[in-house]
Amino acid sequence: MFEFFTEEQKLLRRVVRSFVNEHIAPFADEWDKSSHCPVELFPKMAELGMIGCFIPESDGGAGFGVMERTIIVEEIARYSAGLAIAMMTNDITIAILQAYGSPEVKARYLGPLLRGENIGSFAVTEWSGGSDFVNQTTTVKHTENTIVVKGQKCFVTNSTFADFAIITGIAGKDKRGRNIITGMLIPAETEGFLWGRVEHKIGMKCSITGDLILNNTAVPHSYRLGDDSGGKAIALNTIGRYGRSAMTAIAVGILRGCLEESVKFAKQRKIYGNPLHSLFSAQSILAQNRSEYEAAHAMLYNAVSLREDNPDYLPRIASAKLFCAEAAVRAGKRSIDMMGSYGLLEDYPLERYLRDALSVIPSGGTSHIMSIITANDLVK
Amino acid sequence: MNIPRIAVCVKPVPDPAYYDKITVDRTTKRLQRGQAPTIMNELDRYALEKALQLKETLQAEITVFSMAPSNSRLVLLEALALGSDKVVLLNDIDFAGADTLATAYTLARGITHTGTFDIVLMGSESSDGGTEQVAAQLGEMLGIPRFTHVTSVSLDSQSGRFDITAKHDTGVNRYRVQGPVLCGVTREIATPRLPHLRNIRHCIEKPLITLDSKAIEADPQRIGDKGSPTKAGAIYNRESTRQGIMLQGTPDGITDRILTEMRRLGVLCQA
Repeated sequence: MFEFFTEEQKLLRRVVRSFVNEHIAPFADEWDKSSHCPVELFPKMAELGMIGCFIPESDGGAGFGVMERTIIVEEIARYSAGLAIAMMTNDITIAILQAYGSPEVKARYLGPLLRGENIGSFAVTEWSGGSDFVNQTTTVKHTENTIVVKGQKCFVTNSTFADFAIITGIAGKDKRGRNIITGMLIPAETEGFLWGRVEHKIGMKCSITGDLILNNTAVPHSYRLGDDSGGKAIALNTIGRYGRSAMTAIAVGILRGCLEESVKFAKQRKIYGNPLHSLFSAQSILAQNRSEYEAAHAMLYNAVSLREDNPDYLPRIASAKLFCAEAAVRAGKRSIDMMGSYGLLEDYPLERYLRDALSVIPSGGTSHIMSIITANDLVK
Repeated sequence: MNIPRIAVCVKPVPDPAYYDKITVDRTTKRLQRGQAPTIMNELDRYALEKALQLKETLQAEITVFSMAPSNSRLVLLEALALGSDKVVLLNDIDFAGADTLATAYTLARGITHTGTFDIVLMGSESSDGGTEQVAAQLGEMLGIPRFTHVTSVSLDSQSGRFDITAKHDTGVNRYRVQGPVLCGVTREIATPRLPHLRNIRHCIEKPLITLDSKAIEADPQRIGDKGSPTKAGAIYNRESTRQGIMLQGTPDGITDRILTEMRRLGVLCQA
């Protein structure tokens, strides 16, 4: 366990946990079963300052940082990994707008986002794969008054209900022949903006994932984010800083769920006249669940506590995501093993936790990509 | 009337979610809280919410009082984050082992030392002790009218009069009384809020004052274990056993005997 939280961070965790216990824990299973993203909860989360908590107070946020935002995501993911990824994607759009948005775009969207009235989506992945980011096929053309975008994105979180999408596309080639990638915000009501098919995933079912089709969609120049070639930095920096830390926090939240639920079951379930935890095989599983949770928790918060400009940050958070996501899958699997046939039942949350843990792995970079980042850092 | 001054008494108690971690020391007969974190006593949270609502309508000033060990800081910081203006922590090793009488005395000393208040709010009972005695005892020691099981309270800021509703087993009583008063409240008084995360950042800047027994000029014979006439008796584990009775005979006869036995035990009404 990471043991160096400040008093404010401990209090924040306590307050968020109270909120989660009342507004999320009792409903998470139903949201999963009905594939319902509880958008109605966003204004309530915003009322408490949970959305975009890293935005300075002067701009309407709570004035906290990535560390506190990670705590919030972990607490939500303890019961609903699906809502956690929906919320964290929304947070990514807030971070991008705050850092790269024009005054016009910030004035239009930042307030409603922080009040939970608007929800954002972040669409960069294409069928060619999220990791081959620079070779995307979406095109961007600059006209006198507008930017015109044509292309198709996939695996877009918050699809079908987001009020806008932050997208990237190729605007041309630079002098060295490399793709110039531009980022921009496109409101959902823009002509040519069309939500495509919705994916039916194994886990995180209350997070809605789908395609986005942009058919010569035109937005004013003020909707561009950063400069013409800023799209790559916007996407990769934000994914690295806000995306990967949150996906790791979701894995840690699932791990805690596996730990707490497996302990609860081992105490309640009687076998051979004694509680299940009296068997060494069950003790071994409980001990592994605790050990991996403690290690994952320490890795996550140690990495997040590094400053953004620290060169160690990216490989450390990549290592953490690699370990935590895989550990969450292991914890889900062995907890179900310990429960016997009960583990397979939807009456218990473990089968959902395992499905959710599997869904963490490809989000924000697969375990293989995390391994590459980690290994490259070791041998550079 | 000047700005109303509200005192709220808050007790940090073990989080009920961790009750299985709590044991009793068989020698001292005190609770060993172990890993159980402390949280704000639930009914005190309702009392604080009522104080916050009065503050919002009357620009009142809220001071929270708590007799607690120093590891209860998170509970007190939460009270500040919720909107209290100041916290007074009554903390001294000599306060340890206090029963309700010594607790009420210590709180009374702390409140009197700190200033004058128009109303003292607190939960009618605590979730760990559940005696419902402290509110009544504190009111007596402060020498002010005190009400328990209060479901509503409002203040006419012009006259300084309070309208108070308190429930009892068979109905409610309504009172109009000149302050200062003490109210031990129930869940009907208000719906507690959570603090905005922004206020968590700022709560650390608000005053959290620690006072020991000397600072509040407490009589050493009236605080902590020394000042507590209540002594824990024997401690034992409650054994529960089940008695099985084998009934034999015809189905109708067995049914009659079951019904007779259930009526005898009061599970069913008499025929």
